[in-house]
Amino acid sequence: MPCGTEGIALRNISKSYDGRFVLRDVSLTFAEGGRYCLTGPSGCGKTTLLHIVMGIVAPDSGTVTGMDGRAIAPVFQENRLCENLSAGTNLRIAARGKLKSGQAAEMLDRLLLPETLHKPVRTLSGGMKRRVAIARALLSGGGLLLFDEPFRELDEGTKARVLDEVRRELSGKTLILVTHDPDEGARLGCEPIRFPAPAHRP
Amino acid sequence: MRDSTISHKPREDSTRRAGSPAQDDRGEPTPRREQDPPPRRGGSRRALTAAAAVAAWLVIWLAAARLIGQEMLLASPEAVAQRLAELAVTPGFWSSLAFSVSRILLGFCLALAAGLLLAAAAYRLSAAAVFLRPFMSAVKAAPVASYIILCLLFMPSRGLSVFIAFTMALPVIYTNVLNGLFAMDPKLLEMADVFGIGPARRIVSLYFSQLIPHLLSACGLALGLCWKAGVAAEVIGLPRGSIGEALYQAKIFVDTKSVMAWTVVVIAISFLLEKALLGLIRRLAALAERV
Repeated sequence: MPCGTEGIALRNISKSYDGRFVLRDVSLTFAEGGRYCLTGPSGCGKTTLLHIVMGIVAPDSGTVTGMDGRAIAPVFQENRLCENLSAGTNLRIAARGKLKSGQAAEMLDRLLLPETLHKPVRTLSGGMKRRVAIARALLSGGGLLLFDEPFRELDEGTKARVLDEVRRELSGKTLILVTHDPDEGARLGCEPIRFPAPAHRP
Repeated sequence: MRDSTISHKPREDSTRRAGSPAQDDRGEPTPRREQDPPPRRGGSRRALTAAAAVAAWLVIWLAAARLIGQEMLLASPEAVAQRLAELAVTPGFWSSLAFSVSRILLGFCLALAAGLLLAAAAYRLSAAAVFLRPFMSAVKAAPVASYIILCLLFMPSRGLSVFIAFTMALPVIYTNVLNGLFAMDPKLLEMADVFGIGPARRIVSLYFSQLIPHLLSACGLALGLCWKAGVAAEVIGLPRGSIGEALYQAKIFVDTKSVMAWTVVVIAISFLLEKALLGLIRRLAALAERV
């Protein structure tokens, strides 16, 4: 049976920091090839949940199944790019297979400007770095896209262009999108999952 | 299985996550003109400025030599240049140069390799870091003359400058590289884990690219130290056919012009080697990016 055909299941996930629960007894199932949009106010645990799925944060309790052998294509809340390296190299090092000739340039051409391919990332603006981070995820070859507020540094025109690009690359892939803007999820055809506001201790 | 089952029990506790990543509220992309780094001063202008500084010091040297008026105490720049020209046509000059440069460079290269390996070991194993700390501190603190005299007790003077250059460079390279490793952004390593970036690509692209500034500073500093300590070791150990021996002979005969001529050679070689080495590291960094 191919990896992940049954989707990803989170069962009774709880996570607390300094005695305060960020996630408490959360259960979710993400179907293979599905598109999901996690929304909710700041601090309600969306990013933590995404990090648990990525495997970089361990839950206090609960289980995540369906992740074995799965190739993840993440866009983190921060860009997490190698600032000293060029945009093209950043795309290349994260690619699981060898990128086809001109593939990185074409992607950057659609998202940015062609000359950014050879520019060190540290010389790019915040919005450009964000687009490099998105391009890196799209070109990485991962089938599970975990996007944490990917469009937050983009103006409306650029966001529309990037959303088009993401939509084009979504075929056959699973997307979990964390955002404060439900419209972004709607434009990508995501099923909304609303996280409740963090409740205060009684 | 299109539908997702959602069970999210209401929480009683406050769920605001402590220490969650700070939000970056930068706005729109800046226009292209503003993104580019400020233009660097032109290479020719920098070279002119440097040449002017050197010329100013030559004038000061010339004035001081004229003021003192005794070549034995302070030889003038033209006398030193003349002596240098005389030395350059003797076969002993080039063989002395080759002798010292090869040994000091060998010591430096060994220190570079050992420093990188030991720093990597100390980064991975805290026990190794604890074990190496007193050794590196002792090597850094002890006077170079003590090492030279101790080494002369158990090794031939011909290999002395290799060992001394190694000893001087090792703690500098080790400390800088280890600091560089600890200064690496853990979030980038996390990113590499999530993308499943393999060890070879991780070393070349992530570690090396972030270590470059530390490596450049370590190599510049260590190479200068190697030269000073290596030539000092040769002056004490007097291996035949070395720059140190030539300097010592010039001192014995109170040949100030030769002493200064050899000193100019040492400074020039040190400068050129540093430039070449740092250029090489930058080229390797550029190459690593293309791999």
